[in-house]
Amino acid sequence: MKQIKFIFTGPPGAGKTTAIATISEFPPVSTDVFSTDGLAKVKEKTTVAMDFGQITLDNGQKIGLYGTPGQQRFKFMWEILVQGGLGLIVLVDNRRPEPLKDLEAYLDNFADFIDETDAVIGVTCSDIKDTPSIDDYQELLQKRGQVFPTFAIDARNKDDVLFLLNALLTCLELS
Amino acid sequence: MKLTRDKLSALLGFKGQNKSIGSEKKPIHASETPVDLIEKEKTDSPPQPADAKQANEQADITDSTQLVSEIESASDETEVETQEPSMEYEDLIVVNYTKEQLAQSEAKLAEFMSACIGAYGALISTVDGHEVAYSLKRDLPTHKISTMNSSLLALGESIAKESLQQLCQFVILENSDGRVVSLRINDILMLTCISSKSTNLGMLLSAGRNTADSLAKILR
Ligand SMILES: Nc1nc2c(ncn2[C@@H]2O[C@H](COP(=O)(O)OP(=O)(O)OP(=O)(O)O)[C@@H](O)[C@H]2O)c(=O)[nH]1
Ligand SMILES: [Mg+2]
Repeated sequence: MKQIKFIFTGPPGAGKTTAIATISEFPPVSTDVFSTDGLAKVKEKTTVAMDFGQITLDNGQKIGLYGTPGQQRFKFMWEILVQGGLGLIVLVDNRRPEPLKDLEAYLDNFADFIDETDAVIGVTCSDIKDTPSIDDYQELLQKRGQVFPTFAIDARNKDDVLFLLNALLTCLELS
Repeated sequence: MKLTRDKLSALLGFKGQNKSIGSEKKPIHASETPVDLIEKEKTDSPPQPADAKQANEQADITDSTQLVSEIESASDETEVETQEPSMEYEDLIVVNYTKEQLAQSEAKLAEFMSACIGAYGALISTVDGHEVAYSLKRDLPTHKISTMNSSLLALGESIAKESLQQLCQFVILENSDGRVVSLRINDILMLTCISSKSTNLGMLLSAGRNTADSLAKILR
């Protein structure tokens, strides 16, 4: 069976690396190095190339989990990583000053990919900051004429991340 | 699981699409036009030479050693006005070196360039892809090179680990008309050396290593 490739993207600190580590069946390949900019105040390390993990569904289907770097300066990696991908998981960090703008930025940057595939949105850290609400995200998507399943998740919680993955599989009718 | 109501309401918004795992699917590329919220895309002042041959002809025209921090501090004023309300972590560079440290580093880069005849670029950058200082004999997109080589070095180190090997000492790109060598200076800094083939690999590696060791002492 061919491996399916899913891509996790979103702003620095949203939990891409964490989410992949949470559900991967082997210790994920990571390319995290020390942060030397403002991000260092939020967390020590940041992904500069990619994360790679894997999960096998009950039916034996293997899913490759690829995480992108968050920063726009690594856009060239985004372009490499989406190749052959079948779905996008956008994680948004609710702690950041303008999470809705963040979401729009990633939806726009990955627009071509999303057009060809599909996306789900996971809002992380809403335990720390509960606005914008999921309704606010839905409203934004509606304004953009887009419909993507959107959930509040904790990237450290296996059930949450699996739920998001299932949503994407459902969208793609792969489950 | 938390926030089940939200999750369910969102589930109702599922779109029913007919999508299959298309084996014939073309490679898909991320959208061409960058949307600039996360970080201001740096336009590298010199355009990337489209043609390597042309670049060769231009060799040695420009010989500039630049300190990025100085250039950036000079343009601080205009930048602040156009900034989004602190969306960008990059706004705050926490790794700061004194002018003296940077001047000494600049001297080391220049030393490296003169020790290796073929060398036409030496860049100090952070391991997460920010420029610190560089010395060039040709126009190169230094921001891009810094960022891409930080990815490459991290991948190299990761591949070494997966191959059950220890310390990754160099990542070497061997090209038809030159080499790009990246190596660590310390936990947070790296050096990238770019050279034509008129300097041999051994020489390039040893000069690169020596330079990185000296820089590690300067940029503590
Ligand atoms: N409180 C809280 N913390 C979370 C939640 N989700 C993730 N985190 C934490 O947020 C941080 C996310 O860090 P990473 O996984 O490195 O983020 P990333 O998206 O890979 O970031 P970059 O690689 O820098 O782009 C980790 O420290 C997680 O433990 C959440 O829902 N609530
Ligand atoms: Mg990461």
